[in-house]
Amino acid sequence: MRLFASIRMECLRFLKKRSFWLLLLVTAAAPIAGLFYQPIYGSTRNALYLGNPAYVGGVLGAMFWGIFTLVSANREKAWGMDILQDAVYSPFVRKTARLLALCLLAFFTEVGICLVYLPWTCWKTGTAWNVGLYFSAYVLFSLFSIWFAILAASGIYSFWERADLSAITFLVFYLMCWNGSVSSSYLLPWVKPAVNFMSDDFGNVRMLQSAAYNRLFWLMLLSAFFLLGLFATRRYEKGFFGSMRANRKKLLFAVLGLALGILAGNLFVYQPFVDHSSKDLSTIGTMMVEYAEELKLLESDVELKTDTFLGTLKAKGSYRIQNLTGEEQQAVMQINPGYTVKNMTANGEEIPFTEGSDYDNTKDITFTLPAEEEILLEFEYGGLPQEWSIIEYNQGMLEISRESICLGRLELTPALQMDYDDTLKTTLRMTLPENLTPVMGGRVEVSLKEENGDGTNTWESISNDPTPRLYAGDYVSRTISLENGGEVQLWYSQKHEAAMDEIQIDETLKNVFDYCETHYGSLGFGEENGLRLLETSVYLSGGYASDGMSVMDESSFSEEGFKDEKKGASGSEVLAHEITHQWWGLACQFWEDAEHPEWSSEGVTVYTTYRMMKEWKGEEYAETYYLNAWKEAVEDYYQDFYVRNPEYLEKLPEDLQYLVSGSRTTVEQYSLMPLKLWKAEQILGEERMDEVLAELFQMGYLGCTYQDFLEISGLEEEDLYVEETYGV
Amino acid sequence: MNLEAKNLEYVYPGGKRALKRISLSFQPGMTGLLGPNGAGKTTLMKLLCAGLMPEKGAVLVNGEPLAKKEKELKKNLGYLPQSFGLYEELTVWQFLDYMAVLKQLPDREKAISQALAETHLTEKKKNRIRTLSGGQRQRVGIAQALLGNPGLLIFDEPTVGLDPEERVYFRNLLAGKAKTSILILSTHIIEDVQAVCDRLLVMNHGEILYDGTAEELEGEAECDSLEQAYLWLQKGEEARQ
Repeated sequence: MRLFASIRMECLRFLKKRSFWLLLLVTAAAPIAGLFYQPIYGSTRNALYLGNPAYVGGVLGAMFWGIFTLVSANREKAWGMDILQDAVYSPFVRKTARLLALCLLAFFTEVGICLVYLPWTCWKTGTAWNVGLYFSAYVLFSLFSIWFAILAASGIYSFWERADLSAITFLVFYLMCWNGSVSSSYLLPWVKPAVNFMSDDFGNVRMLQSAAYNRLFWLMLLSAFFLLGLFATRRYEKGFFGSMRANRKKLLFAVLGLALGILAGNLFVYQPFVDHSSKDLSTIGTMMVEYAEELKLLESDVELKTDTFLGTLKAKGSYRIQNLTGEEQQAVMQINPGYTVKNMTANGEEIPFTEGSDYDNTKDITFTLPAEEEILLEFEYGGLPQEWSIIEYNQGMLEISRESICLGRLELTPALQMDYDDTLKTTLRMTLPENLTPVMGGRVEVSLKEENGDGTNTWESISNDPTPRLYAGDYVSRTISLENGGEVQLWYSQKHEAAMDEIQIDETLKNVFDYCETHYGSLGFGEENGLRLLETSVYLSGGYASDGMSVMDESSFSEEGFKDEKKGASGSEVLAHEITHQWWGLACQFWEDAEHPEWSSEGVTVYTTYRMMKEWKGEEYAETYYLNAWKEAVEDYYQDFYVRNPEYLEKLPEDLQYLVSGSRTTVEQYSLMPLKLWKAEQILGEERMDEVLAELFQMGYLGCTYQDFLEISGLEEEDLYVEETYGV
Repeated sequence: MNLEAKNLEYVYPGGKRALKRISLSFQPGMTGLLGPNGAGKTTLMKLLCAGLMPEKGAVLVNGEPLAKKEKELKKNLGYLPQSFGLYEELTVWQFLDYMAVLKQLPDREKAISQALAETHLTEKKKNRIRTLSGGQRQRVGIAQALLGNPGLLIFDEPTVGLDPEERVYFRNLLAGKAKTSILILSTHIIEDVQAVCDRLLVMNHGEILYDGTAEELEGEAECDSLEQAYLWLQKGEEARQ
C-alpha cells in the first residue's frame, strides 16, 4: 500500500537529516532535566528517579518535536518540495505519511531512551523498582506528550499553512497547560498530565489509570483536529474555504474528525475518575443532610470484593434497622459518587431509591423504609470510586490494585444517616489479593478468615464503627513498649524492613515518645489501647490522626527522605523528626501567620529534634548538625535582595511575589523558625522554654498562633529578631 | 493517452483572468508552448496536470473529466515545474528512489538507472543534492519526471540552468520521449521549440494566438525566422519592420 511505502520513505528521509539526529540527542538528554526540575512532589524514589525524568522528558520533548514538525512541514512548502510530490500522489497521503513517520520515529526514540535509562533507574529506585511502572511512566508521561505535539503541530500547520501563525498557535497551545484553570483539571493539560506523586511502597495504578484516560481523551481530540486539518489541505492554489470546497470528495475526513471530536467530548463530560461536586470552596460543608433520628442502626454486614485490574469494588450490604415510629420513614445513605446502588430491598421487598447530585465527594441515596419495627435493608453497591473534583489534579488516593488498597469511609461502606450506639455490630468481610495485609482505621481489628487458593484471601473485621477505613499493603508490624507502659504498634511496608533495623526504629520511636510525652504531654489519640502508627501511600500526603491511629505517608519512611538534612543528620534523626510531628502538626495544629511565614509545625519540630539530639548525642553534636546549619542557611537567606528590601517585592506582580515568597519557605520554616526558638530558649532557659511549649501543646486541635507563643513566653517580637546579626 | 482541454477558463483570486476559453487536444508528440511572461503558459500546464482546477470548462483524460481521473493521470505523469525544491539531505539516488516509491514503479532500480543515464547523472548518483550545481539540480528534476517513462510529460522551462551543449542534448532526449508520450514543453528559448517541436502553441493574455507548426507560422508571417514570426504574432506589423 502506498501509505506504508510512503511512511517508510519518510522515516528514511528524516533519518538522513542532521537536524533530526540533533532532535534525537536533545530528546534523549531531556529526562536529565527532571533531576533538577521536579514537578512531581515527594522524596519517593519513583518520583525522583523515574517520574520526574519521564515527565520533564515529555514536557521538553513535546516542545522539540512540535517545533521540528512545524519546521519540516513549512520547509516542504517554502522550498517547493511539495509541488513535485503533489504531482505524483495525494497530499492527504503525503501529510498522513509524514505524521505517522514522525510518530513512529518518536516511538523508537522513546524505546531507546527507556533502554538507556533503565539500568540507572533500576539501580536508583532499588526496592521500589517496578518494570511495569517504569515503562508506563515513559509511555504515558513522555511518549504521548511527544505524539500529541506532533499531531497538534501537523494539524495546526494544515490549517494555517504559514510558519509564523502556526508557531504562535502551537506555542499558545503548549503554554496553556501552565494556565491555572487548565492545570487544575486532570484532563485539560496535554503536555503535563496531572501527576503529583509516585509511590514506592504502594500502588500507582489509580494515578496511571487517570493519566491514561487523559491520554485517550487527547488522542481522540487531536486526531479529530488532524483529520479536520487534512480536510482543509490547500489544493489547486486555493485558500482555506476554497480548498475545503475542492476537497468535498474527502468529506469522510471531516466526518471522521467530527465523530472523534464528539467522542472526545463525551470522554470529557462522562469521565469516571472524578466526581461532579461543585468546585466552589465556599460551598464545602454547607450541604445539610437529613439525619433520621427516629431510626436506629443495630447491625451491618458487608461482603465486598475488589477487582484490582479495573480498580473497582463490588459489595453487598445487609443492615438491620430499628423503626419504633410505626410509620414509614425516609432515610438517607451517603456513598462515594462513583458507586452505583442496585437491588435495594427492605425485608425482602424491593424499594425505590433516588440519587442526589454530587457534593463534597459524596452522593446521597434517599429511600423510604416501611413502618415495620425491625427492617433488614439489603442492597448491592460498587464501581470505580471517584475522587474529589476540587483536587482532581492530585489523584491516586483511592487505590485498588495488587500493590495496595486504600479506601476511606464512604469508599468502603456507605454511611447510613441514622442513629447508632456502642452496641452497633459492624461485620466486614473483604476478599483481597493474597499478597496484601489489611489494616483497618482507628482501633478496628481484622483477622484472616480464609485462604481461598485462587490468589485471594478473605478477611473479617468486627467493630462498632459503621464506616471503617481500609488500608491494605505489604505491611509488617512492630510493637514498641514505652516507658509509661503504653505501646506503639508501627505498621510499615516490608520493603523498609532492612532500613528500619538500620535506623534502629524501635529505640528511636521509644525515645521520641518518651521525650515528647515527658516534655509536652501525651498525644490526645491512642491512650487506652495504645497508639497505632501506619505508613500510608504518598498520595495521602502528610498525615492525620483519629481514634487511636496516626498515619504518616511513606516519605517519612523513605531512604531518600532519611537523607533530608533539613530534618536531621541521619536516618534515625529524620524519622525522629517525622514522629515528632505527631505532637507538632497533628495533636497540636498551627495557624498560618502572613506576617510571620516561618511560624509552622516544621519549625517547632526541627527545634524539638535539635533538643532531643542535644540530650542524646551531646551539645557539640547538636550545635554542629543543627544550630550551625540553621545559622548558615539564615545567613544566606538574609543576603536575598527581596528579604533585605521587602518594599521591592511588593512592587512585583502578584504571581511573581508568590513565586519569590514561596521559594523562601523552606529556609524560613526549617532554619529561621528553629533559630528564633533557640534564641527564645537562650533568653528563657531550657526549663522555661519546655514549659512554654508544653502550654502551647495543650492548645491541641484549636491550634496555636505565633502570638500565642509570644504571650505564653512573655517575649516580644523584637526579642526573637535575628536580623541584626546578619546586618539587616 | 488522449488529453483534451475544453473551453478552459481560469481566474486567479485577485481577479486576473489567466485563461480565456482555451480548447486544445493533445496526442503523443512534442508540443512547444511559447509566450511572454504572464501569457498563461504555466497556468495552462498546471491545469493539465491537476495542479489547478478550472473555473469553467474541463480537462479530459481519455474522454473523461480530469476531476474523476486525477489518480490515473498522476500515475502516468512526469511533471517538472518552473521552480521546485529537492531534499538536500538525500543523495541523487535516494531522491529518485523516494520519487519512484511515490510513483509506485514496479522495477525501481531499473527505472532509476535509466533516468540517471538519460540525464547524465550516473556518476553523481551517490552525491548529496546539496553538493550539486544549479544545472545538475535541474537535471535531477528532469530525471524524476522521466522516471518510469510516463505517458504525459509536462515541462515548464526545463532547460533553464543548462549549458548550450546540455540543452541540445535534452532537446533531442525529449524529442525521443515524445515519440510515445504526450510532451508539452514551455520555454522562452525559440531554438528549443524550432528544433524539435512537432507543434507550436503561442499564447498571450490567456489566449491561444497560434496553433500549428513552426514552419507554417513562418510562412503565415512571411518571415525568415521563427523569432520574427513570433514577434509578428505578438506585436503585429510593427514587429516585422
